[in-house]
Amino acid sequence: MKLNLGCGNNLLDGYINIDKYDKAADVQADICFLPYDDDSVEEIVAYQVIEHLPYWQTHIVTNNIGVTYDAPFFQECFRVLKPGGFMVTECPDVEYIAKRIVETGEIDYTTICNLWGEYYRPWDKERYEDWEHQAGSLHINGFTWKTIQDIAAFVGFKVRLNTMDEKHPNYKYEENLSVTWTK
Amino acid sequence: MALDWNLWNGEGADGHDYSQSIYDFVKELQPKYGLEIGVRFGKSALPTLLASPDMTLIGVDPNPEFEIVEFMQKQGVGNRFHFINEPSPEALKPFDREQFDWIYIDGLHDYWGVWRDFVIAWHLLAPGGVMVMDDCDNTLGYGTEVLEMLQDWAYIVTGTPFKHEAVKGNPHKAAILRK
Repeated sequence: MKLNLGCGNNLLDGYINIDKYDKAADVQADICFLPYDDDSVEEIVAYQVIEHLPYWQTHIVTNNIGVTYDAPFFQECFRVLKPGGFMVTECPDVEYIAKRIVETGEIDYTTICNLWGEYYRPWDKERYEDWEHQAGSLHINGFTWKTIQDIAAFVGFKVRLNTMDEKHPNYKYEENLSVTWTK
Repeated sequence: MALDWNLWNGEGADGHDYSQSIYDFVKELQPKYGLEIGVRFGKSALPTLLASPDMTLIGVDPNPEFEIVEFMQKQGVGNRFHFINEPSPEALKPFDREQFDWIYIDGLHDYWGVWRDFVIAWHLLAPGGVMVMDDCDNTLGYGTEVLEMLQDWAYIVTGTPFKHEAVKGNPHKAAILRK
């Protein structure tokens, strides 16, 4: 079994395409609660997805009232993957983006979309029925290679950075942080 | 000089020591060209302008809860206050690098929200300028994400290791970053 998490309308053949909001998906579900058994999935892909999840769902964090979260999204992926199974995530590399802004002073539109903000994608507006759905299209979270290594070590994954050739054909950019997570 | 706390007439009327601490700090620095992200009631923007009489301040807020322009005009600083009613990435687009000698960040308070403002504003700060990030502690219930963000990112963005230097007397432990 192979899963394409947070697929939007980018459906992949051979995968179960899962999305919380997009009705084009095979399964409409919250990707932090996957309806599959432990050790049942060979492969997961999540292209340009994890930056749309709240910080507490992807990091190890204690909030201001003392509740601790242990990266529940990654725990859930680890749970359903078979031993030796793997996951590929791609997301903006916020360290690369930060350095580029500081060095060049340029804030281009792509970069603005890669920053948390009040923005939504105007071209997505028709696809969603209400603000909550639009909110699913916002970038509200960020990752660096270091934070990914920390999360992986905590959850139990082994991680490696993918090369430019291994990146998704639509996202062959320096600022695209592409990682393979192996259980 | 002590500020007149009756100016706000109940709206955002708490936290006078906060405004006074900004006033005292700016009085010492005397910046000439400032930027403030997250103006809200003007409780830092007005003390800033009053403390530095030659200063022009750009105020940014996509959603002010107050008639901020009218308020600043009534206080006699309207000609030195320019308000941009846009989210910060849009508002900051027209400005050149290293032109502000004072930047005050008090916009979004979640980790990535404040990260965004920090990253897009740092290159606008002139050498010798000062950036102040408000709400480094949980006084107002925002948590400590501003401070956590600075601890993680200050070195990457500024090239200088972060050591929390708080504005004297500031109850929110606003952090000072110098360029």
